[in-house]
Amino acid sequence: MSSKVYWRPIGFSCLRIEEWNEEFTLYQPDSGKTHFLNQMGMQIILDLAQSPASTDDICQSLAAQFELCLNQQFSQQIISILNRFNELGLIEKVEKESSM
Amino acid sequence: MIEDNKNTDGQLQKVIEQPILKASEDGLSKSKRRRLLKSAVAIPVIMTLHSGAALARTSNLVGPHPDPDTAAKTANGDLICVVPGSDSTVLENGTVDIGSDATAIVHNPPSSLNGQAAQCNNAGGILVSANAWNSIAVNGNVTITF
Repeated sequence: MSSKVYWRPIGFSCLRIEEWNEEFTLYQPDSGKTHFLNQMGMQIILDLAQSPASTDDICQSLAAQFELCLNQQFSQQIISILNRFNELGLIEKVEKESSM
Repeated sequence: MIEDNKNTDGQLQKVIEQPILKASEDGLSKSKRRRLLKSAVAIPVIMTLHSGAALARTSNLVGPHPDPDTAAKTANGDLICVVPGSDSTVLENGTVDIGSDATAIVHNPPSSLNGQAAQCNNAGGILVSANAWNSIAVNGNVTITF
């Protein structure tokens, strides 16, 4: 058994989400902040709301959904945005045990 | 002459066409820009608008100004004592968020500046700089009670 770090959304059900022609505004009542997200940013939140996922899982899933090349640069961008989401209190890290 | 006219006609045609082309290029570049923004979908983007309450809070922040000689005064030269409201907080750096129901007092009868400063301190108030006073007074957050 080993532990793996997953991301999951915080208070997803409380978020007020509006779509504006493939762009999204997301009101976060807890902080009183309104966020503007593009499609990929929103997709990360929506995917995590369906099931927590590791950084690698998220990168793979996004690369497949958006038909992008999964390289180190792309992964770095995803890691940056995940950390930003974390700072904003939109998502959090959880550790889960997984069987090897 | 005929050829000249042809040239002139051709040039005229070009002149007419150019703005049309330019206009359509403008339209094209606008749509290209839009598409580029959309294609920024290749990277996730988040931009955050801060709440109005947070912005309002920043306009309520003042630093205590301990020197009575240079602190904010009325036209009569009496010290203005700002008493933070019930929802005030002192931040880690010593700055005070005076809250939504702060008051300002001019102690009566007026004594020396040091005496007024002591009265202010006893009343739980703080002295602020003239600039800070102008800021909170202009915002309409605090008015002086004499």
